[in-house]
Amino acid sequence: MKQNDNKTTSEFDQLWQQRLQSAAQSRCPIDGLALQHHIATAQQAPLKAKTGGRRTLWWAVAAAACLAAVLLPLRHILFGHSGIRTVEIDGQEIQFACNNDCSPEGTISMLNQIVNK
Amino acid sequence: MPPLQQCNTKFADLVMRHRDLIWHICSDYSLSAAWETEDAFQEVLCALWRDMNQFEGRSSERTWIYRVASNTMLMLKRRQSNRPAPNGTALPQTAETNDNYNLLLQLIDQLPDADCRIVRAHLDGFSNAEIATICGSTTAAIAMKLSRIKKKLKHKYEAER
Repeated sequence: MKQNDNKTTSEFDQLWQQRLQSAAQSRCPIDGLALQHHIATAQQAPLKAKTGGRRTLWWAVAAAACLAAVLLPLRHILFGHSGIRTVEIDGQEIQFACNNDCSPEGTISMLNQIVNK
Repeated sequence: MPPLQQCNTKFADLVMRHRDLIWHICSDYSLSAAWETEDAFQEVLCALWRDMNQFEGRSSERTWIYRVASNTMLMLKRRQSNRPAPNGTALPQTAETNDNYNLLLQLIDQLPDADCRIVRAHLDGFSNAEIATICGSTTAAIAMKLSRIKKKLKHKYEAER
């Protein structure tokens, strides 16, 4: 049994070698006019554009720029804003916490409220 | 994009230089009369022409041709297996021949596409590094896979014999 296995294994290795050698010996039977005809037929297909990858990259950059142009002016509305704002009145610096509305109108309205209080 | 005339000459030269390799890949993958080797040869030339502009010389011409040609042949093989064989005859699924060499070829043919491609490239004389470029893998992974596939083929061969 063992001897039989060894026999098939060495047979397999021989066939493997035979297949390895066959690749080097392979010759194309198409030549001359027939080959030229095959080449000409292939050349009728349109070529793929070379810049495919780069074009995709440019589209991605352009899309990101458009998104930024839309989102940046709206960031206070979309994401809210808070921080400390400083204004100067009669030479005195007044600091106050500001939340969503930090526009000039909003600031004046808030100051009016403070003064009225 | 280079002028068409320049492309034409470059392509013709490329085919002339590597026609034996292209023919070998086509005859190796062609399984039934539905896709004669010559039809497959034409399909591979069309694929090479379409992709020619995308070849940037990062790998050797031979490796690139092998990748495009084996991709095309695997695609044809898949298309062929989806279609009934001509004259109502089924494609050979099991080895019925006494010819041991044909048995090995059939066993290789029955491997999954990815494994089949690795084995064929190895048997066609490509190094593990070149096969890694063809398959988009690493040299170490190819070496490991190759040894595993060869072992599997050997077992199958022994079982069929």
